[in-house]
Amino acid sequence: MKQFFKRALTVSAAALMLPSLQAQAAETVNIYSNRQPYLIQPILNAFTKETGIETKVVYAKKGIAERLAREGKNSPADVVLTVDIGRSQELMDKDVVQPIKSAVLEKNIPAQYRDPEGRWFGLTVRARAIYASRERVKNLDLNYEDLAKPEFKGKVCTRSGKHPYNLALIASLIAHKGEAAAEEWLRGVKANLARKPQGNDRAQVKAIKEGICDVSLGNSYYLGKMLTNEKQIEWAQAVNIVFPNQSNRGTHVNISAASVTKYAPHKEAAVKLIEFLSERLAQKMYAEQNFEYPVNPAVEPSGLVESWGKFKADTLPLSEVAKHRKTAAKLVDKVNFDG
Amino acid sequence: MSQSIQAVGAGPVWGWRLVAFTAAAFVCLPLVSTLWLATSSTGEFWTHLWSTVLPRYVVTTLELMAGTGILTALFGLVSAWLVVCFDFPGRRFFSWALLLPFAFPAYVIAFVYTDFLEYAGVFQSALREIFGWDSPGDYWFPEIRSLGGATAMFSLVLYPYVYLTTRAALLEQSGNLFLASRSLGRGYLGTLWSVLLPAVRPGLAVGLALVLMETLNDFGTVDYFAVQTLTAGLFDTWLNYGDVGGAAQIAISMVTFALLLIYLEQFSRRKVRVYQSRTRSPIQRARLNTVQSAWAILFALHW
Ligand SMILES: [Fe+2]
Repeated sequence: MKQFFKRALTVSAAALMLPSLQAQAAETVNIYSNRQPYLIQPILNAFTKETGIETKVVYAKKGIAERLAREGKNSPADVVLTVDIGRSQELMDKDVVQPIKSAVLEKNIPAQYRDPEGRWFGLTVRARAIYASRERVKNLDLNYEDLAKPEFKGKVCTRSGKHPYNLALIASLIAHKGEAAAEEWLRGVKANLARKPQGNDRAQVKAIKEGICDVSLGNSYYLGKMLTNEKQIEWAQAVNIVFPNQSNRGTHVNISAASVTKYAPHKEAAVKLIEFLSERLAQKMYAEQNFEYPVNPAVEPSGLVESWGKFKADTLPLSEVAKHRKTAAKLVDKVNFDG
Repeated sequence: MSQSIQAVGAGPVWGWRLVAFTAAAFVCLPLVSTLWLATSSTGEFWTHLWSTVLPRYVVTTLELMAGTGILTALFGLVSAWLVVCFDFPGRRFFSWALLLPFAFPAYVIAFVYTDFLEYAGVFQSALREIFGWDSPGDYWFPEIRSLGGATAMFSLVLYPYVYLTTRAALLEQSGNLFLASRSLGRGYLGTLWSVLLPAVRPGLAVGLALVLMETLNDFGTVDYFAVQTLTAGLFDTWLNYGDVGGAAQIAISMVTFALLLIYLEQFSRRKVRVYQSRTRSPIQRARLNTVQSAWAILFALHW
């Protein structure tokens, strides 16, 4: 008798669970994210509050494209949140995302920061800046090209040339000036390195503070992050942020982006989410939380970021940059940049 | 009668075989799927890699493995020898404390040491304070994030493998062997080298094989130390060239290399016989004098 009850209970519980899962599924959007929880979660909470649509996030640093390709039609994912145009390109190469048409997105996001066919949409913009020692670098009218000049011999620090941020910068050089010039530049920078490429962008600013080098490459938002970090504020105070190439093509910028997956089970909710992310509220949250530039021109950056001044961004479409990424990686190998 | 015994025996044996088979299949699953992935790439990237960075990755990997192998073998063997064959204050404590590095992943220890030893770290800051230096140009200090640094880090973290297997092998040895050698006039080190080492070699080899495989497959630590081994090539092929199949091919090459190591080790001692006396008398620990004890303790406390 006891056995019977137990079994009946299990069966009915299972029966109850099925429809409830489905009911939940109808109002849920599933997200695979490269972006970290501290940044994404508050914005997603705001989205749920406004639309009633629940969100479920799988955070992964690497390998989202592979995972989607492997899961194929069975993938539960609706939206992918990535960092770096290279990752968005990878999603397209693996054919795991679909084109989206949305008037809201086209209005909120400038054309250069979204795929012409709507397979990725930029949500935030970051500049690849040059950090220069306040003490030792007086001329702040710098170009990326200067980092390869003899005057900076033994004074340049950077993270690995293979990092997506640097690959995108090199790809933009290839797009503007051709492969040979980009290779020349890489050789020049390598010859100027104060030490073998290592650490992250912030570690380079720290090295400037320690006197190991005078200039480094780094994303703009790291300055905000260091200035608001008790331990790192003294690193940040040792440098000026320089937006390079202001008198010519403009500073190379990159994006964090969103895509709708090819087999998104909740496509409508997915589009709604990305639209929400491009609107003022979410854009403001991104800007305040992570010191990135809002992609939506109607939204202003955080006060701190605004205090660094306005800059001219390279207008080359990022889809062009993405095309040269593999060539950029090959060049880094060819000149043995990290070795 | 015999039939019934067989019948009784057959059930459990089959059950166990099934369990063992399932377990083995489960363990092999990643390997099989890697093999499968490897077929999905044409391998064209090999040409590019070989003509550029791969030779460097291979050399670095071999250097790292050689360095780590030598250091862990030395430290593992000597520390096992000390706690098994000698008596000194703290011996019991060290016999388990020497295993402690197992509790930490290599990269955590790497973080700690780098934090301590790098330019801005406590150690160099103190040096600058004492000697009045104020920039990196004023003095020379070894680069922590380097091949040497990574080798030291792996050795510190991985030697317990060798220590554990060698200690077990030493405990298996008959004390008589040890005594005989001593009475024939060999010193402690001579005994270690010509009597104990050959006897514990299989154990040491097993520990060493584990150490080398751990070194081969690490990514976190080498990445942190800006040392590019084959795993760097693997991730690069996967993430930057978007070629999972190619990455799988590199992985397969690494597995093959590991298998080759194991085979070589077994091949090299095919003629060695390990004698074990039936009447085992445990090794009599020799008491160390104060100076010797101090050395032993210092050694066990890490260099
Ligand atoms: Fe970043």
